Amino acid sequence: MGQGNNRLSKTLNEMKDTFFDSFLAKNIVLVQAIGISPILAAGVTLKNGVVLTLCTAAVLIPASLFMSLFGDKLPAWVRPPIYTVGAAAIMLGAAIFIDRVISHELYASLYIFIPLTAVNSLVSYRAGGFSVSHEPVIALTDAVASSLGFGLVICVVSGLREIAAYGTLWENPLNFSVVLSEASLPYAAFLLLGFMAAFLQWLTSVIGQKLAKN
Amino acid sequence: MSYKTAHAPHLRRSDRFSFMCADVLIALAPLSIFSAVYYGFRPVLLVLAGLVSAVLFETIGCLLMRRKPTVTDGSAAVTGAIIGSLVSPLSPYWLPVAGSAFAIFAVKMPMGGSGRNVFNPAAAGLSAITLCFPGFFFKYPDPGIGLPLPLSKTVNMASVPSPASQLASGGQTLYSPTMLLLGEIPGPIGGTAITILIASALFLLVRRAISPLITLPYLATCAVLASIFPRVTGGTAGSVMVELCAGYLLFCGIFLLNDPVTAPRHWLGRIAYGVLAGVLVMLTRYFGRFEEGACFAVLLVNAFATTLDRFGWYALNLRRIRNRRRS
Amino acid sequence: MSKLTNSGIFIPSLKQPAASRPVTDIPTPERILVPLVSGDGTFCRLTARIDDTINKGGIIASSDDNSMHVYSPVSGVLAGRQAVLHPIYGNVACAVIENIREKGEDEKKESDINLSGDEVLEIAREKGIVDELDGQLLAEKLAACRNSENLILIADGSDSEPYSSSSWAVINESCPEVYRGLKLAGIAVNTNNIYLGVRLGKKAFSSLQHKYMQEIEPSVFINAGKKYPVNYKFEKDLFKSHPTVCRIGVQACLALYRAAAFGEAPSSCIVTVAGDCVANPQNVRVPFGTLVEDLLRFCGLAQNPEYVIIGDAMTGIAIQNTEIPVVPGISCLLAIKNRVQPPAHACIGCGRCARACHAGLLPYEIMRRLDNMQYERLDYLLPEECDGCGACSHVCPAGLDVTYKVLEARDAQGNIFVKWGTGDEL
Repeated sequence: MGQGNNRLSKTLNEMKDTFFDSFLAKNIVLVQAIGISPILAAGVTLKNGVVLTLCTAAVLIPASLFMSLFGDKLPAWVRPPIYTVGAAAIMLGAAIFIDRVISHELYASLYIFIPLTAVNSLVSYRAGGFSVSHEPVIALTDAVASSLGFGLVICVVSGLREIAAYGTLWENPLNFSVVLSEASLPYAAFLLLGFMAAFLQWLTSVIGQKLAKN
Repeated sequence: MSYKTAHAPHLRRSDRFSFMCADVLIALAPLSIFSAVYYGFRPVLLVLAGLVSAVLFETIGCLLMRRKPTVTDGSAAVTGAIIGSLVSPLSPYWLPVAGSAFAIFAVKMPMGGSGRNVFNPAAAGLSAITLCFPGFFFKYPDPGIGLPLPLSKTVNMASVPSPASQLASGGQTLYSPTMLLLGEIPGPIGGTAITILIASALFLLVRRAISPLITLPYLATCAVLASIFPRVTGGTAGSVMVELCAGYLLFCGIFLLNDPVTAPRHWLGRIAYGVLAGVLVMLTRYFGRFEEGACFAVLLVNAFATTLDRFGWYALNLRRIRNRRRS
Repeated sequence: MSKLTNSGIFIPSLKQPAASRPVTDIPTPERILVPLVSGDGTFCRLTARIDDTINKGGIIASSDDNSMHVYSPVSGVLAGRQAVLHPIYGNVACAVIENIREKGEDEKKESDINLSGDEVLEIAREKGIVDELDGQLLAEKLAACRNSENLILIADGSDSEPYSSSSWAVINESCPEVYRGLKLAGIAVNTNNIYLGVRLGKKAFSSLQHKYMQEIEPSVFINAGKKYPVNYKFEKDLFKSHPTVCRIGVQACLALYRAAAFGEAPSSCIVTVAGDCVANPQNVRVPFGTLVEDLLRFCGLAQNPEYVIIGDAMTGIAIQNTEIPVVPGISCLLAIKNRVQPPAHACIGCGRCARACHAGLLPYEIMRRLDNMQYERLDYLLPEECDGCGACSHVCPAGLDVTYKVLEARDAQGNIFVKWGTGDEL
């Protein structure tokens, strides 16, 4: 019984560490610089950002789970086609769902980026790399945390860009007099990402110093 | 008795970075004065707005980042003055200020401040305001009117096409070589006075503030490309003349590319840097969204500076390095 | 193209007024400290007994295997031992010699100097002659380039550094002897291409050639370029066919001749004392072991110096304490109050250091790699080819100690991780 408790608390600890790492300390976008392209190209409005986050989570979580369960039984060269085809299948469903059920306009503005999510380097990196060598629970935690980390960054970036470029947030007008229409260009997202990455480094160094002191 | 210690050598040349920046500022001054002859006092005020705001932002940035103040070396003043010199005489006063703010706060300070910036802050600030406020750019007053511009409210002033915009649209150029050389053409404050620019370049060359190994290959590349792919009717010589004198191509080769912090240091790297910059500047002109995109080209080529520098040296010292690895 | 890149720098000549004044002998000092270190840097045991009277040229210490000796530069009484923190040798034991007697130089007979190369090397090694250019043992230096093809041997009297004029003083005083010593060194390294390098104006150069026409062929003299570090390569035709150049000091040549002809161990050297704090800048002949303090007192201080520098302005070492003996290899002593150094600043990338470097290195890149702790990249940048001439720091407008950093990289080659720790402490 005690042993079981120990194992449980150990797994919980590991889950906590993995979550914290993947979400913030080793944020997939800001630290590992993976999966930047959707943020640059499509993260222009908050709505796009949220949809892309959901799509990424919808691909990443099943792919990670599958790869952590069966990945080590497959030869290495088979893995990428399998999770890519799986992700593409999921994305196909998601695309149809968005188009038919949510809104056709949203689909029209995102139609190229939703399929691209399936072959995003984020998915191949987390599902093909991290998950294979970890337990399903940890892999699941990592997938959720990575999706959330990605979502946090894309929502902040796209929200700020929406405010700057169109003067709206979630399509609600904010009545700004100055509008910087060029904020919807990719370079604005690069700049924002750069500053956010620097801020995250500063934050982790401050936290690290505090932890080292205690 | 105890004496102070210091590292050899104990005899130093008394050159300072601030002297180099002062030289650049001295070379920039006649350009705005020349512009003032045509347009009144407004261009000088625009340049000063850029300069003063850049110095101010640099001070604020150093205070915020708790760094040793680096204002006294003059690099911020040069950045602001260059930004001020490359806006149109018609632009509002806040435009160079916005450019300086971007240059200092987004490009210079986060990279580590003076001496550590990867990208030329002036080119970056200029690119930012070109992209964000394209409406204020490339609208130039006619120098032929001979009336000074009003010091405020220039929004509705009439503008005339500059040589660069004529190049972009093709066809016959309206400007004769004499007009181009004398600077009687519409264009940015500091970019039109070709004769004064050449004089400034010679002054800076003598003072060793700029390197001929960057500027000459750059201009040669631009000239070769202009002669191979002319955009105006009027022969090769005419095309080269107009391309080199239009926009701020020459200004860019003298002041933007020669920023010591972002340019390569080794002579071979410098030549490669100049050639690459020339190609990129002409490419942005031929295929760019704006009539003049030299500042974007400078940013692009800045990214290659360190690599070019290192590989230039490696290429020259391959045998030495190989011998060393073998032993 | 190599001429374009291996350029060096121009530095102002600050040799006057010391260069135009005659060489003076320092009055007999009260006491001297002789470091118990032989010419090649091995520590020696005291062999003479304390309170013994010793003669000039007598052995006072020997190395463990009895091959190298320390000779007394003066006649006096061995009073004891004293530990000294010397900037060149580090922590070293010194013999204190007091009650120094002036002894009239007895006329020595010049012995036959028809020697073979091995004999010359043996003499140079036994007498511990040190090359004043780099402080190496002359015998080792000659032995190292002994078998090179097409070797040129140059006695370098150019005084390329800004203050020093001691080599010129030696040539002025005893040019024929220097030439004979140079000939001996030429026999030792088995070459006929021996030259005497000086740095003079055209007129002075030809009058020098004329003056010694009887003894020395005029073509032996060559005139160095005006640049620092000294570079004889502008004589293109000569150096195209003879790529290897070995430079030795003129004081070492003189000492070699004296050792071969009279059996004398070197006992004194000529030191230029200069700087803006020195009242009478001049060349002084001092016995080895004379304290820097005494030397400065002899020349007089016009004002209190802030820096006292052993060696010349470009490569010298600033010392904190003047109770330090003059040792072979020191040819200049500076006392300076105003030392120009631009305020330190981040590297601005002007590239002047790369243009100044006569070895064709990239000093700024080495410095950047060192500061960024990318030690593995240092290997490709060849820092071991640096000779520490100081040209890069001299021209740096940002006031950085470039030379110091490059030398740090050079000296840490191979064991940089040992030096900086294994990284465990991070």
